[in-house]
Amino acid sequence: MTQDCPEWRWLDTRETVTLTELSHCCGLSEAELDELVDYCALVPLIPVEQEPTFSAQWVIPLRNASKLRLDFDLDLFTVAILLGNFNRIEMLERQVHSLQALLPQQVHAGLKFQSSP
Amino acid sequence: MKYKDYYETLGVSRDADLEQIKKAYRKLARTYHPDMSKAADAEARFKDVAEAYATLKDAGKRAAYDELGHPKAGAEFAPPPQWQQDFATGGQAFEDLDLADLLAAFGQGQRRPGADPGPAKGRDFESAVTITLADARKGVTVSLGLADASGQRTLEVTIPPGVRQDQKLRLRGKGGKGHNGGPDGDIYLHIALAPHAVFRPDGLDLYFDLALTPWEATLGAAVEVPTLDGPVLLTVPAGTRSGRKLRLRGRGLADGHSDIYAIVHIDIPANITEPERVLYLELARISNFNPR
Repeated sequence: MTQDCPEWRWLDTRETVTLTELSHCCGLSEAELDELVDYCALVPLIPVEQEPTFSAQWVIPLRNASKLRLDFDLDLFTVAILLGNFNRIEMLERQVHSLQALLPQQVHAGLKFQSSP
Repeated sequence: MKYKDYYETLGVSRDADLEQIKKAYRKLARTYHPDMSKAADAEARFKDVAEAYATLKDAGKRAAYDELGHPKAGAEFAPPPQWQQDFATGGQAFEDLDLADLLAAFGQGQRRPGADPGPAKGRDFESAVTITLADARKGVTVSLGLADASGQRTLEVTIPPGVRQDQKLRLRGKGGKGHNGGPDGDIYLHIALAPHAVFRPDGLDLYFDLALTPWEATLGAAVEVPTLDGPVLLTVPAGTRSGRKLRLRGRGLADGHSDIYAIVHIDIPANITEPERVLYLELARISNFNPR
Protein backbone atom coordinates (compact mmCIF):
# COMPACT_ATOMS: atom_id res chain seq x y z
CA MET A 1 0.00 0.00 0.00
CA THR A 2 1.05 3.60 -0.43
CA GLN A 3 2.68 5.13 2.62
CA ASP A 4 1.27 8.66 2.55
CA CYS A 5 -1.35 8.14 5.30
CA PRO A 6 -0.55 5.89 8.26
CA GLU A 7 -4.00 5.86 9.90
CA TRP A 8 -6.37 4.52 7.25
CA ARG A 9 -6.45 3.11 3.75
CA TRP A 10 -9.27 3.04 1.23
CA LEU A 11 -10.19 -0.47 0.21
CA ASP A 12 -10.88 0.36 -3.40
CA THR A 13 -9.13 0.93 -6.69
CA ARG A 14 -7.24 3.93 -5.29
CA GLU A 15 -5.07 1.67 -3.17
CA THR A 16 -3.04 -1.44 -3.83
CA VAL A 17 -1.97 -4.32 -1.60
CA THR A 18 0.88 -6.76 -1.96
CA LEU A 19 0.36 -10.51 -1.96
CA THR A 20 1.76 -10.71 1.58
CA GLU A 21 -0.53 -7.99 2.84
CA LEU A 22 -3.58 -9.48 1.14
CA SER A 23 -2.71 -12.79 2.80
CA HIS A 24 -2.59 -11.09 6.24
CA CYS A 25 -5.86 -9.24 5.62
CA CYS A 26 -7.83 -12.22 4.40
CA GLY A 27 -6.51 -15.16 6.38
CA LEU A 28 -5.50 -17.07 3.27
CA SER A 29 -1.95 -18.25 2.66
CA GLU A 30 0.06 -16.83 -0.22
CA ALA A 31 -0.04 -20.26 -1.89
CA GLU A 32 -3.84 -20.24 -1.64
CA LEU A 33 -3.98 -16.75 -3.13
CA ASP A 34 -1.72 -17.95 -5.96
CA GLU A 35 -4.18 -20.77 -6.57
CA LEU A 36 -7.06 -18.27 -6.75
CA VAL A 37 -5.02 -16.34 -9.33
CA ASP A 38 -4.58 -19.62 -11.27
CA TYR A 39 -8.38 -20.06 -11.22
CA CYS A 40 -8.65 -16.47 -12.58
CA ALA A 41 -10.82 -15.63 -9.56
CA LEU A 42 -8.26 -13.10 -8.31
CA VAL A 43 -6.51 -10.82 -10.77
CA PRO A 44 -3.22 -9.07 -9.95
CA LEU A 45 -2.73 -5.54 -11.23
CA ILE A 46 0.51 -6.40 -13.02
CA PRO A 47 1.40 -10.07 -13.22
CA VAL A 48 5.11 -9.52 -12.75
CA GLU A 49 7.95 -11.82 -11.77
CA GLN A 50 8.33 -10.00 -8.44
CA GLU A 51 5.66 -9.97 -5.74
CA PRO A 52 2.33 -9.24 -7.47
CA THR A 53 0.12 -6.39 -6.30
CA PHE A 54 -3.67 -6.28 -6.21
CA SER A 55 -6.34 -3.61 -6.08
CA ALA A 56 -7.42 -3.13 -2.46
CA GLN A 57 -11.03 -3.66 -3.58
CA TRP A 58 -10.29 -7.42 -3.37
CA VAL A 59 -9.86 -7.25 0.42
CA ILE A 60 -13.50 -7.21 1.53
CA PRO A 61 -14.87 -9.89 -0.85
CA LEU A 62 -11.85 -12.08 -0.08
CA ARG A 63 -12.37 -11.66 3.67
CA ASN A 64 -16.06 -12.55 3.29
CA ALA A 65 -15.28 -15.59 1.16
CA SER A 66 -12.53 -16.66 3.55
CA LYS A 67 -14.90 -16.40 6.53
CA LEU A 68 -17.49 -18.57 4.77
CA ARG A 69 -14.73 -21.02 3.92
CA LEU A 70 -13.90 -21.41 7.61
CA ASP A 71 -17.52 -21.52 8.75
CA PHE A 72 -18.63 -24.11 6.19
CA ASP A 73 -15.33 -25.91 5.63
CA LEU A 74 -15.38 -25.07 1.93
CA ASP A 75 -12.62 -25.92 -0.51
CA LEU A 76 -10.60 -23.28 -2.31
CA PHE A 77 -12.37 -23.74 -5.63
CA THR A 78 -15.66 -22.87 -3.92
CA VAL A 79 -13.96 -19.73 -2.55
CA ALA A 80 -13.07 -18.85 -6.15
CA ILE A 81 -16.70 -19.19 -7.21
CA LEU A 82 -17.90 -17.19 -4.18
CA LEU A 83 -15.45 -14.43 -5.00
CA GLY A 84 -16.80 -14.12 -8.54
CA ASN A 85 -20.36 -13.98 -7.23
CA PHE A 86 -19.54 -11.40 -4.53
CA ASN A 87 -17.99 -9.13 -7.14
CA ARG A 88 -20.97 -9.60 -9.42
CA ILE A 89 -23.39 -8.76 -6.59
CA GLU A 90 -21.45 -5.60 -5.78
CA MET A 91 -21.41 -4.54 -9.43
CA LEU A 92 -25.16 -5.15 -9.72
CA GLU A 93 -25.83 -3.23 -6.50
CA ARG A 94 -23.91 -0.30 -7.92
CA GLN A 95 -25.97 -0.45 -11.11
CA VAL A 96 -29.19 -0.52 -9.09
CA HIS A 97 -28.05 2.54 -7.11
CA SER A 98 -27.20 4.36 -10.35
CA LEU A 99 -30.60 3.60 -11.84
CA GLN A 100 -32.35 4.56 -8.59
CA ALA A 101 -30.58 7.91 -8.66
CA LEU A 102 -32.14 8.60 -12.06
CA LEU A 103 -35.65 7.72 -10.96
CA PRO A 104 -38.01 10.50 -9.91
CA GLN A 105 -38.17 10.93 -6.10
CA GLN A 106 -41.68 9.51 -5.70
CA VAL A 107 -40.80 6.32 -7.59
CA HIS A 108 -37.48 6.04 -5.76
CA ALA A 109 -39.17 6.38 -2.35
CA GLY A 110 -41.43 3.44 -3.16
CA LEU A 111 -38.50 1.08 -3.75
CA LYS A 112 -37.27 -0.93 -0.81
CA PHE A 113 -33.88 -2.03 -2.15
CA GLN A 114 -31.03 -1.53 0.32
CA SER A 115 -27.50 -2.73 -0.28
CA SER A 116 -25.97 -4.92 2.41
CA PRO A 117 -23.09 -3.39 4.38
CA MET B 1 -13.83 -30.02 33.56
CA LYS B 2 -17.11 -30.75 31.79
CA TYR B 3 -17.27 -33.37 29.08
CA LYS B 4 -18.85 -32.43 25.73
CA ASP B 5 -20.18 -35.14 23.45
CA TYR B 6 -19.02 -33.93 20.06
CA TYR B 7 -20.54 -36.93 18.27
CA GLU B 8 -23.91 -36.14 19.80
CA THR B 9 -23.52 -32.45 18.87
CA LEU B 10 -23.02 -33.38 15.21
CA GLY B 11 -25.58 -36.20 15.36
CA VAL B 12 -23.18 -38.89 14.11
CA SER B 13 -22.18 -42.27 15.50
CA ARG B 14 -18.81 -42.70 17.20
CA ASP B 15 -17.52 -44.77 14.28
CA ALA B 16 -18.62 -42.24 11.63
CA ASP B 17 -16.08 -41.68 8.87
CA LEU B 18 -14.78 -38.24 7.86
CA GLU B 19 -17.25 -37.88 4.99
CA GLN B 20 -20.22 -38.51 7.31
CA ILE B 21 -18.81 -36.04 9.85
CA LYS B 22 -18.26 -33.41 7.18
CA LYS B 23 -21.75 -33.89 5.76
CA ALA B 24 -23.35 -33.62 9.21
CA TYR B 25 -21.33 -30.48 9.98
CA ARG B 26 -22.25 -28.74 6.73
CA LYS B 27 -25.92 -29.49 7.25
CA LEU B 28 -25.87 -28.10 10.81
CA ALA B 29 -23.69 -25.13 9.82
CA ARG B 30 -26.21 -24.26 7.11
CA THR B 31 -29.00 -24.46 9.72
CA TYR B 32 -27.36 -22.47 12.52
CA HIS B 33 -24.99 -20.05 10.77
CA PRO B 34 -25.77 -16.58 12.19
CA ASP B 35 -26.01 -15.15 8.66
CA MET B 36 -28.75 -17.62 7.80
CA SER B 37 -30.66 -18.38 10.98
CA LYS B 38 -32.80 -15.91 12.87
CA ALA B 39 -33.08 -18.17 15.93
CA ALA B 40 -31.95 -16.54 19.18
CA ASP B 41 -29.56 -19.37 20.05
CA ALA B 42 -28.23 -19.80 16.49
CA GLU B 43 -24.82 -18.30 17.20
CA ALA B 44 -24.26 -20.44 20.30
CA ARG B 45 -25.42 -23.56 18.46
CA PHE B 46 -23.15 -22.74 15.54
CA LYS B 47 -20.17 -22.33 17.91
CA ASP B 48 -20.90 -25.73 19.50
CA VAL B 49 -21.16 -27.39 16.12
CA ALA B 50 -17.96 -25.71 14.86
CA GLU B 51 -16.11 -26.73 18.04
CA ALA B 52 -17.21 -30.34 17.61
CA TYR B 53 -16.21 -30.39 13.95
CA ALA B 54 -12.82 -28.77 14.63
CA THR B 55 -11.96 -31.77 16.80
CA LEU B 56 -13.58 -34.62 14.88
CA LYS B 57 -12.27 -33.65 11.43
CA ASP B 58 -8.68 -33.84 12.68
CA ALA B 59 -7.44 -37.42 13.12
CA GLY B 60 -5.01 -36.50 15.93
CA LYS B 61 -7.51 -34.46 17.92
CA ARG B 62 -10.21 -37.07 17.38
CA ALA B 63 -7.93 -39.83 18.69
CA ALA B 64 -7.06 -37.75 21.77
CA TYR B 65 -10.76 -37.02 22.32
CA ASP B 66 -11.72 -40.68 21.92
CA GLU B 67 -9.11 -41.57 24.58
CA LEU B 68 -11.29 -39.76 27.10
CA GLY B 69 -13.87 -42.54 26.81
CA HIS B 70 -17.55 -41.85 26.72
CA PRO B 71 -18.79 -40.00 29.82
CA LYS B 72 -22.25 -38.43 29.74
CA ALA B 73 -22.38 -34.98 28.11
CA GLY B 74 -22.00 -32.30 30.80
CA ALA B 75 -20.52 -34.77 33.30
CA GLU B 76 -17.36 -33.77 35.19
CA PHE B 77 -14.28 -35.68 34.06
CA ALA B 78 -10.54 -35.62 34.63
CA PRO B 79 -8.30 -35.35 31.55
CA PRO B 80 -5.34 -37.76 31.39
CA PRO B 81 -2.43 -36.72 33.69
CA GLN B 82 -0.14 -36.29 30.67
CA TRP B 83 -2.35 -33.48 29.35
CA GLN B 84 -2.14 -31.64 32.66
CA GLN B 85 1.65 -32.09 32.71
CA ASP B 86 2.02 -30.69 29.19
CA PHE B 87 -0.10 -27.65 29.91
CA ALA B 88 1.68 -26.97 33.19
CA THR B 89 4.92 -26.41 31.25
CA GLY B 90 3.18 -23.79 29.15
CA GLY B 91 2.46 -21.66 32.20
CA GLN B 92 -1.31 -21.67 31.69
CA ALA B 93 -3.72 -22.39 34.53
CA PHE B 94 -5.05 -25.82 33.70
CA GLU B 95 -8.22 -25.26 35.71
CA ASP B 96 -9.15 -22.28 33.51
CA LEU B 97 -9.13 -24.37 30.34
CA ASP B 98 -12.05 -26.23 28.86
CA LEU B 99 -12.14 -29.24 26.59
CA ALA B 100 -12.03 -27.11 23.43
CA ASP B 101 -8.87 -25.30 24.63
CA LEU B 102 -7.15 -28.59 25.32
CA LEU B 103 -8.05 -30.16 22.01
CA ALA B 104 -7.26 -27.01 20.08
CA ALA B 105 -3.67 -27.42 21.25
CA PHE B 106 -3.35 -30.67 19.33
CA GLY B 107 -2.60 -28.87 16.11
CA GLN B 108 -2.02 -31.72 13.65
CA GLY B 109 1.24 -32.59 15.33
CA GLN B 110 2.63 -29.08 14.81
CA ARG B 111 2.18 -28.10 18.41
CA ARG B 112 2.06 -30.03 21.63
CA PRO B 113 -0.01 -28.84 24.52
CA GLY B 114 1.98 -26.28 26.47
CA ALA B 115 4.29 -25.41 23.60
CA ASP B 116 4.89 -21.74 22.72
CA PRO B 117 2.03 -20.77 20.40
CA GLY B 118 4.18 -18.13 18.63
CA PRO B 119 3.19 -14.62 17.51
CA ALA B 120 -0.45 -14.16 16.57
CA LYS B 121 -2.18 -11.19 14.98
CA GLY B 122 -4.79 -9.40 17.10
CA ARG B 123 -8.47 -9.67 16.33
CA ASP B 124 -9.87 -7.74 13.37
CA PHE B 125 -13.09 -5.79 13.88
CA GLU B 126 -15.80 -5.07 11.34
CA SER B 127 -17.76 -1.90 11.92
CA ALA B 128 -20.28 0.16 9.97
CA VAL B 129 -21.06 3.84 10.12
CA THR B 130 -23.79 5.90 8.46
CA ILE B 131 -23.01 9.53 7.67
CA THR B 132 -24.95 12.36 6.06
CA LEU B 133 -24.28 13.56 2.52
CA ALA B 134 -23.02 16.87 3.91
CA ASP B 135 -20.49 15.01 6.11
CA ALA B 136 -19.50 12.84 3.15
CA ARG B 137 -18.67 16.00 1.20
CA LYS B 138 -16.84 17.82 4.01
CA GLY B 139 -15.34 14.87 5.91
CA VAL B 140 -16.26 14.01 9.48
CA THR B 141 -14.87 12.48 12.67
CA VAL B 142 -16.95 9.59 14.05
CA SER B 143 -16.70 7.63 17.30
CA LEU B 144 -16.62 3.85 17.03
CA GLY B 145 -17.51 1.78 20.09
CA LEU B 146 -15.40 -1.38 20.25
CA ALA B 147 -15.50 -4.24 22.72
CA ASP B 148 -12.66 -6.71 23.07
CA ALA B 149 -10.74 -8.59 25.74
CA SER B 150 -9.33 -5.32 27.10
CA GLY B 151 -12.91 -4.03 27.59
CA GLN B 152 -15.02 -1.33 26.05
CA ARG B 153 -13.24 1.47 24.19
CA THR B 154 -14.06 4.30 21.85
CA LEU B 155 -12.02 5.10 18.79
CA GLU B 156 -12.20 8.44 16.98
CA VAL B 157 -11.93 7.97 13.23
CA THR B 158 -11.61 10.79 10.74
CA ILE B 159 -13.41 10.02 7.49
CA PRO B 160 -11.88 12.11 4.72
CA PRO B 161 -13.96 14.32 2.38
CA GLY B 162 -15.39 12.84 -0.81
CA VAL B 163 -16.84 9.53 0.37
CA ARG B 164 -19.31 7.47 -1.64
CA GLN B 165 -21.90 4.87 -0.64
CA ASP B 166 -20.53 1.44 0.40
CA GLN B 167 -16.91 2.52 0.57
CA LYS B 168 -14.63 0.60 2.91
CA LEU B 169 -11.73 1.79 5.01
CA ARG B 170 -9.07 -0.25 6.70
CA LEU B 171 -7.78 1.21 9.98
CA ARG B 172 -4.50 -0.53 10.34
CA GLY B 173 -3.41 -1.68 13.78
CA LYS B 174 -6.51 -0.26 15.50
CA GLY B 175 -8.12 -3.63 16.23
CA GLY B 176 -7.37 -6.13 19.00
CA LYS B 177 -3.90 -6.38 20.56
CA GLY B 178 -1.52 -8.90 19.02
CA HIS B 179 -0.32 -11.90 21.07
CA ASN B 180 3.26 -12.94 21.72
CA GLY B 181 4.71 -10.10 19.64
CA GLY B 182 2.24 -10.49 16.78
CA PRO B 183 0.85 -7.37 15.06
CA ASP B 184 -2.31 -5.64 16.31
CA GLY B 185 -5.49 -6.37 14.37
CA ASP B 186 -7.25 -3.97 12.02
CA ILE B 187 -10.66 -2.34 11.84
CA TYR B 188 -12.64 -2.63 8.63
CA LEU B 189 -15.07 0.26 8.42
CA HIS B 190 -18.05 0.10 6.04
CA ILE B 191 -19.47 3.50 5.16
CA ALA B 192 -23.11 4.05 4.28
CA LEU B 193 -24.79 7.32 3.33
CA ALA B 194 -27.99 8.29 5.11
CA PRO B 195 -30.96 8.90 2.79
CA HIS B 196 -31.39 12.59 1.94
CA ALA B 197 -34.70 14.38 1.45
CA VAL B 198 -33.60 15.89 -1.86
CA PHE B 199 -30.47 14.24 -3.25
CA ARG B 200 -29.89 10.69 -4.47
CA PRO B 201 -26.21 9.70 -4.71
CA ASP B 202 -24.70 7.76 -7.61
CA GLY B 203 -21.02 7.25 -6.93
CA LEU B 204 -19.73 10.73 -6.13
CA ASP B 205 -22.46 12.49 -8.13
CA LEU B 206 -25.80 13.61 -6.72
CA TYR B 207 -29.16 13.66 -8.47
CA PHE B 208 -32.37 15.49 -7.66
CA ASP B 209 -35.70 16.27 -9.32
CA LEU B 210 -36.17 19.76 -10.71
CA ALA B 211 -39.80 20.64 -11.34
CA LEU B 212 -40.33 23.32 -13.99
CA THR B 213 -43.43 25.10 -15.19
CA PRO B 214 -44.27 24.61 -18.88
CA TRP B 215 -43.32 28.23 -19.60
CA GLU B 216 -39.97 27.96 -17.70
CA ALA B 217 -39.12 24.86 -19.73
CA THR B 218 -40.19 26.48 -22.99
CA LEU B 219 -38.77 29.96 -22.53
CA GLY B 220 -35.81 29.20 -20.25
CA ALA B 221 -35.30 30.58 -16.74
CA ALA B 222 -32.90 31.10 -13.89
CA VAL B 223 -34.16 29.01 -10.95
CA GLU B 224 -32.88 28.64 -7.41
CA VAL B 225 -31.80 25.05 -6.70
CA PRO B 226 -30.36 23.38 -3.59
CA THR B 227 -26.79 22.14 -3.14
CA LEU B 228 -25.06 20.71 -0.05
CA ASP B 229 -23.43 24.13 0.44
CA GLY B 230 -26.64 26.16 0.08
CA PRO B 231 -28.86 27.30 -2.77
CA VAL B 232 -27.46 28.48 -6.11
CA LEU B 233 -28.98 29.83 -9.33
CA LEU B 234 -29.24 27.39 -12.23
CA THR B 235 -29.82 28.57 -15.76
CA VAL B 236 -32.43 26.46 -17.51
CA PRO B 237 -31.99 26.76 -21.28
CA ALA B 238 -35.02 27.51 -23.44
CA GLY B 239 -36.63 24.37 -24.86
CA THR B 240 -35.66 22.11 -21.95
CA ARG B 241 -37.55 18.81 -22.09
CA SER B 242 -38.61 16.42 -19.33
CA GLY B 243 -35.87 13.97 -18.32
CA ARG B 244 -33.03 16.30 -19.36
CA LYS B 245 -30.05 16.38 -16.95
CA LEU B 246 -28.76 19.83 -16.03
CA ARG B 247 -25.32 19.81 -14.41
CA LEU B 248 -23.99 21.83 -11.48
CA ARG B 249 -20.28 21.26 -11.94
CA GLY B 250 -18.09 20.36 -8.94
CA ARG B 251 -20.95 20.36 -6.40
CA GLY B 252 -21.11 16.59 -5.78
CA LEU B 253 -19.64 14.59 -2.90
CA ALA B 254 -16.03 15.16 -3.95
CA ASP B 255 -15.59 18.93 -4.02
CA GLY B 256 -14.59 20.01 -7.53
CA HIS B 257 -14.43 16.44 -8.87
CA SER B 258 -18.06 15.41 -8.93
CA ASP B 259 -21.31 17.04 -9.94
CA ILE B 260 -24.94 17.57 -9.04
CA TYR B 261 -27.47 16.69 -11.74
CA ALA B 262 -30.96 18.19 -11.81
CA ILE B 263 -33.37 15.83 -13.58
CA VAL B 264 -36.02 18.01 -15.17
CA HIS B 265 -39.68 17.19 -15.08
CA ILE B 266 -42.36 19.55 -16.21
CA ASP B 267 -45.24 20.05 -13.83
CA ILE B 268 -48.61 21.61 -14.42
CA PRO B 269 -50.91 23.39 -11.96
CA ALA B 270 -53.54 21.19 -10.34
CA ASN B 271 -56.12 23.99 -10.61
CA ILE B 272 -56.16 26.88 -13.04
CA THR B 273 -57.99 30.17 -12.99
CA GLU B 274 -60.38 31.21 -15.74
CA PRO B 275 -57.87 33.66 -17.35
CA GLU B 276 -55.25 30.87 -17.37
CA ARG B 277 -57.75 28.50 -19.00
CA VAL B 278 -58.44 31.11 -21.69
CA LEU B 279 -54.72 31.48 -22.37
CA TYR B 280 -54.26 27.67 -22.57
CA LEU B 281 -57.16 27.46 -25.02
CA GLU B 282 -55.59 30.20 -27.09
CA LEU B 283 -52.25 28.36 -27.01
CA ALA B 284 -53.96 25.14 -28.07
CA ARG B 285 -55.61 26.97 -30.95
CA ILE B 286 -52.54 28.65 -32.36
CA SER B 287 -49.86 26.00 -31.61
CA ASN B 288 -49.01 23.39 -34.22
CA PHE B 289 -46.93 21.35 -31.72
CA ASN B 290 -47.88 17.65 -31.59
CA PRO B 291 -45.65 15.41 -29.44
CA ARG B 292 -47.35 12.13 -30.54
